[in-house]
Amino acid sequence: MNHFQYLIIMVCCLAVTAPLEFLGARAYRQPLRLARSVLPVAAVFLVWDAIAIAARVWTFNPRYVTGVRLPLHIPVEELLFFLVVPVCGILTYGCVQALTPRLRGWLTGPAAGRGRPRSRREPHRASR
Amino acid sequence: MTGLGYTVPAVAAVAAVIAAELVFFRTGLFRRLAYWVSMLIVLAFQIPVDGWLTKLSAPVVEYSSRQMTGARGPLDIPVEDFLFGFALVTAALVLWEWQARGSGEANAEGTDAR
Repeated sequence: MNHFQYLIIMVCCLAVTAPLEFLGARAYRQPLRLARSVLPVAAVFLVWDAIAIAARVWTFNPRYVTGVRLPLHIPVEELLFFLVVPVCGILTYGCVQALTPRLRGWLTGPAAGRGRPRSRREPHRASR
Repeated sequence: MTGLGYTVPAVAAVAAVIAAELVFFRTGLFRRLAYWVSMLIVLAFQIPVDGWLTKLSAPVVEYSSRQMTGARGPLDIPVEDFLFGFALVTAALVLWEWQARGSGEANAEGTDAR
């Protein structure tokens, strides 16, 4: 099981954050938008990863990874990491956004929570 | 390598993401309470997840001590990892918000709608 440590952590991240989709996150329901947010970022970080691995800035303990490697010696777990972590971040953000009116209510009182964002939009709308 | 092969790119990544948002994408993400609350939650989860990978008792990822400051947080997480995580998640959120423009999604569900 030790070889699956890194992989299992990534699966756990997806499992733990999955319910956020139903708490207002609405990320998986927009697969194209999700892909366009995550894939370009993952690509840049994979380049960084490949350089860091080549320069031995970081190495992976062979005991705790599957040993499945992508080109340029990138462990498959790293690819998952660069996909999973941004997805978790977007799910979190979507969920927090959905709960923001309530959050604002707790911070500033219920009336302020509903009034402020609308007044911020007003000049924007008038200019059209 | 100059000897700070992790520290320098980590700082640069944070600067690049912030600059991209402020100069090019301009989604207003940094002005949103939801973003900062989310980043605090992400940080809270980064410690156990990242810490599992970096703890010196049984590290999954091992860092060359010559390539970083050597400063480590809880569970031996290198401080550079926090910059790395910030840049990774923020970059995805900037693109996520950027695409909301025009699609109407942010206005349907986001903070601006109320």
